[in-house]
Amino acid sequence: MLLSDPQWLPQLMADLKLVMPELWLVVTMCLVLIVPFIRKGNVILPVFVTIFGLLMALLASQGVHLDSIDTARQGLVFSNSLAIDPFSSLFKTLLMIFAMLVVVQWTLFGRDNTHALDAPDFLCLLLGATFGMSLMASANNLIMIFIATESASIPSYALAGFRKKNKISTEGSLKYVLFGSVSSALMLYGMSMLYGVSGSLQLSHIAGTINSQGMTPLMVVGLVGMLGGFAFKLSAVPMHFWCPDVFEGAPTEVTTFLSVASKGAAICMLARVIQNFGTIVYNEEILTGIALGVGALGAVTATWGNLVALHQSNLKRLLAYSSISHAGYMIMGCAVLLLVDPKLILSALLFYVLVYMFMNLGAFTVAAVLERHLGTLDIADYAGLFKKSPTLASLLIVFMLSLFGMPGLGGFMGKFLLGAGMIKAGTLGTVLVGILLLNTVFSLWYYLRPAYFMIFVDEQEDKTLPVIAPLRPAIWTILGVCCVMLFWTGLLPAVGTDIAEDNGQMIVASAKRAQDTNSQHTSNVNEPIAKADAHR
Amino acid sequence: MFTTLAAGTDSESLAQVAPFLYLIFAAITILSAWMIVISQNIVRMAMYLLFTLGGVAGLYFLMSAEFLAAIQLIVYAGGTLILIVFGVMLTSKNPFIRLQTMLWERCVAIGLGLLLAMLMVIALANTPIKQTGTEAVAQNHDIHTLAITMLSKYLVPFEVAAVLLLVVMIGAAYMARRRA
Repeated sequence: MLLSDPQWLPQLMADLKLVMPELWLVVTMCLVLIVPFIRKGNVILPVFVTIFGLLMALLASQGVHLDSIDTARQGLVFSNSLAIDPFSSLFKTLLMIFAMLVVVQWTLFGRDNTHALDAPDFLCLLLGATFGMSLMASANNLIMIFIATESASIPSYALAGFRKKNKISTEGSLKYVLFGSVSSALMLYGMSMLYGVSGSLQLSHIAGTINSQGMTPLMVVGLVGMLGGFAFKLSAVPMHFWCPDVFEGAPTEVTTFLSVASKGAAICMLARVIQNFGTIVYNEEILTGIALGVGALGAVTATWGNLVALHQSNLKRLLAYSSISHAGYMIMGCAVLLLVDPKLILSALLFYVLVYMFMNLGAFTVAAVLERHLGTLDIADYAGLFKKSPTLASLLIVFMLSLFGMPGLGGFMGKFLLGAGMIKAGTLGTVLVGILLLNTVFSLWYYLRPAYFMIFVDEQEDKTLPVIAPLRPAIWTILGVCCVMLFWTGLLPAVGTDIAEDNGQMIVASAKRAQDTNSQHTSNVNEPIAKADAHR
Repeated sequence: MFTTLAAGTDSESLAQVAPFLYLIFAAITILSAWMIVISQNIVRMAMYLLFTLGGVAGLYFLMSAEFLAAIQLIVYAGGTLILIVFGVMLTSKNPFIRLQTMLWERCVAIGLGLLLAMLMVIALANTPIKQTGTEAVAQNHDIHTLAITMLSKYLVPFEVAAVLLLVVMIGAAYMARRRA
């Protein structure tokens, strides 16, 4: 057993160093709960503790390079249950930055609607969800995938219903819980099939089973079930019904958080599963089959999201459907991970998440300002806004154009890199790029609708807009940072792409190693030691 | 007690009854699960759920996963079910509340269920199963091994579950708290 191994304890201590970001999050969570005992009813103190904790987690997630990790251990810690590699570290860095921005956004908007004594609860739930998402990015076996998904989901349910007195918020939260539990059950069912077929919880070993046994029908059922659970987190099409209701009802900062962080983490998880299959399975037919399935899911999601977004009149619902279609683009990217050089796609995904983070943060912040000062989210009510507050209106237009993919803005570079990776994947890739382009063209219609109302439609006589009071400098700072980041990543993308490229590496346990750790009833798998970047 | 039971699995007499026991437990599980879906009285549903969970525990015993079976009985049949019954009694004025479903809802549900069952049967029939459950489980999986594995190899999921429970408790406390 493991305990009889004299190296057990030192190894555990070494492993702990690699999960410092998660440890910092847990410590901060406890601190946030303790702080109210020092000064009851103070909001600023827990906010500072949270931001400090996130900053420490951010620093702790730095400095993971493939060279610096002990090559024998490959950065797979705690008996392969977590993979600490450049890909997950960069995602964690982005996640922490984003969580900090969301906390700032909450202090600016949500605080007024929250009782001062509830502030620590909110921050603790936010940290808990961040903790789960950060584990999702690293999860490398079935148990971790499941428990990380739950750690990210359950706090999100509570966050979505945080406005307890608000009917829409409560309804959204309830729908979220119901959908979430059904998809968790589906995912568990699929996982039990995979475990039954392969006798192992390791992703690499399950992939190895495909080599030895072929793609058995039970394996297909298991994979589809697991993909169903992922689809819920990604709000991919058959599982997307919760998304608009939750996004409309939840406090805006929670919507911002869920739209980027939860989807980004799920994309990381999907990419890791697919990467494991891509490196270990050598049967090209099976790989193409998996790519086709995932690609179809992405294509349907992107197209459906865009089609429904065409006739949305509520700004938050429109952004919700837009986030569904963006998730679709990222899934399409994941699909071709099996067929091309994984580094291309992995770095494109990281860059996409980076840009998407600022686009959505900006767009939702403007939505929060409009909701608060005008009391409406109906796009038609924004007629004549451009004349009254040109800066705010132009900022919203910039964010919308970036979401559409206007050249010169970050969103274009994100889509471009993703498409450039996809086009190398043969016929399937070409088809997917075609779907991506077509969807982008369609989406222009609804992304420009707010701009049309704000600029070209005159204010109605009976419904005059209230004047927007001067905004706090901090709000302008957030909006300014988002805007600058979008122009920067759009016009001078080199810095961003370099960082993404450096980190586009993912560790995959060799099937042999998985066999060693799973001494129980293994089948014959003899694969070469495979590293993500060295393969193909 | 568990070890004696596990050792008993090897004896011929138990091996002979095992298939019949399996059929009985499986029948209990499936029939009461079926009744949960059909029944319209929520308290009866809870009772049928008890039989389903008990049947599953029996199946675990037959697969010589005694620890899991005990946990199944203690946690699910014991704890969770009581919680459900209490929940029903506390939330609805009339505990014998009836849940009505539309005809078309029933038709869709039956259709989907049959489709899924067919899919599973086809998938199982076409997959070569190398080991049966008993062979896979009965490899020295006593509580001692389980405990050590849980605190060494699966330490992280175990700890993460603890953190998860803390967050869940905070979320639940927030939701249940009454404050202006």
